[in-house]
Amino acid sequence: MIKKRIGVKYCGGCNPTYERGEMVKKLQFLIGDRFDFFPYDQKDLDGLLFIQGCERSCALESLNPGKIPSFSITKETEWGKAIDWLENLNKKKGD
Amino acid sequence: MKRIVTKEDYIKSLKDLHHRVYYNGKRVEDVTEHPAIRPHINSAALTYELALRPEHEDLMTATSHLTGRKINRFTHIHQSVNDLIKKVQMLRLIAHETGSCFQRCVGFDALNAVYMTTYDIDQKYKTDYFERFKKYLIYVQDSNVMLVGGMTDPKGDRSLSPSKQADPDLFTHVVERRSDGIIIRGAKAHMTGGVNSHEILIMPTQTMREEEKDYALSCAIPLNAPGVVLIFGRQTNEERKFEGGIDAGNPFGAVGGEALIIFDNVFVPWERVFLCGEYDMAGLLVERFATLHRQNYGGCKGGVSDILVGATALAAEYQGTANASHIKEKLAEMMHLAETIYSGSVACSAMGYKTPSGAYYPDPLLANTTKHNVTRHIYEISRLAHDIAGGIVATMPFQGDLESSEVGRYVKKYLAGVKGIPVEDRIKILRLIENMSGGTALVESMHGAGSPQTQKVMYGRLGNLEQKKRWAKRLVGIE
Repeated sequence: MIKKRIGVKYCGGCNPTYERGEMVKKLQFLIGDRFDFFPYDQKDLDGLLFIQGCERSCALESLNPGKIPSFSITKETEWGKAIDWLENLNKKKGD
Repeated sequence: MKRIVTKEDYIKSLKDLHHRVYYNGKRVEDVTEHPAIRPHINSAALTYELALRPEHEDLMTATSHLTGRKINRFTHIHQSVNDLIKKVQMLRLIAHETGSCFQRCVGFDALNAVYMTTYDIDQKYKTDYFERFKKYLIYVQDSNVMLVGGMTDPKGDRSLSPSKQADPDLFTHVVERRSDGIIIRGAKAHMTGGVNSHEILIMPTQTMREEEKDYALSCAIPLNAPGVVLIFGRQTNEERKFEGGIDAGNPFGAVGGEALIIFDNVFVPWERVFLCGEYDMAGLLVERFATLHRQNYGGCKGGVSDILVGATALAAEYQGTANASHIKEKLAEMMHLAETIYSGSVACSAMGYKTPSGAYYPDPLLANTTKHNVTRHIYEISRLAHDIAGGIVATMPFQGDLESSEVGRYVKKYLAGVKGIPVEDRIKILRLIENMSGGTALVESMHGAGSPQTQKVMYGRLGNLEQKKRWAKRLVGIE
């Protein structure tokens, strides 16, 4: 199975409510067999994951996801929703 | 200078600087190896390191409006209200990593203040300071050097103006004008990050009169230039940094590692001179630097306070008082005060505006209000930290006692708190509280970016009292 290429874009992290880097590590640990995570500015991405420190969601300000499907995590508890979104992305792409 | 990118580049650049730094009467050959200075270097180094991390690049970097290149935000000229807000956010995030001052904001503010004011000087006097300064700015942005913002002169007898001082050097001034540049003499005091910066950007310390033209001076000087001498300031519990252990409290030191920087007949070429004699513009430059610097304090001190609140909450947990209602109430009060100062910094940024130069400037009244709140709230936050943590903050034995084969078991037995919490962890947190809440750290929150009275003076000028009186009279029908 070809792994999906997911770009990761962080907000600046002025006062985050959780450890954003740990969130990405957790996702890599849980679903790293199906998804690879890259910096947001890489080519040929299948999806963009915004790691927002809070609900203000500043990461979106500096980046227009355009045609690439995207999902924002704004809370520590949203890792499950992120996995659901990624799994759906996998199904839609039909691998 | 080769572009400084990483923390390692920064430290190497300081090794190569060979500037004349003195500590306790002795010359320091390599500041990076000195135990009293290294914590402050490590703190400033984070301004380089964090800019390389994807989880912080949105705040730590910007795009130069002059070259279009990606630069460290500490060398950026604010191009929008959003830039002003991002500056404050950046300061809070770095403070979360250091729990201490990271020093680089002073040079950042000096760059912005000189940028916008040289434009105005040129408009009035048809000089070419702005073009000179833009060239210097590109050098700073491309090399990513760290600057000291040099404003505060020693001032001598405060009742006398610069030209009336018994010693004319108590205010930095021009002593000779030559075809290729100027010679200056004087000193700048309390220079944050002084010994671990590459250059100083000098500004006048106050409004100047016509007879003080020689004191109306702004210029940039490499800190290794002939005639520059730096004397590191002694801090509270200074010697604990030599031990480098638990008793030091915070591995990043306390506040910025301030220095007295002396200019003993220093030559400055004209291309690095940005104000020289236009005495009526000195006040504007001072006011702008002060505003830009006062804007910061709710950001960095807000972030530092976050650490102190966290440490205090842990101290309460470790000693079993966390569930007491008065402890919860006091922690809530600490958070209220921290967010209050942060709110001020965000507010003055949000209400910022464009200057004729194109650079953005925070609302000066709100920036001054923010800093004035910091002079009060940091003391109150620290008082509450002491209240919650207890007298043990001031009475703990040495780390050496904890590790002693003879008395270590007593320290572990009698400083134990809640079961399962290592005594060493409890001492670490209490030492951190001690480091962050007393002595040098408190005085810095009072006088850094200007003493409280300087903010009160600004209220008198910017507070619009006459309009307030008109509103009151109108409300009750007084003609």
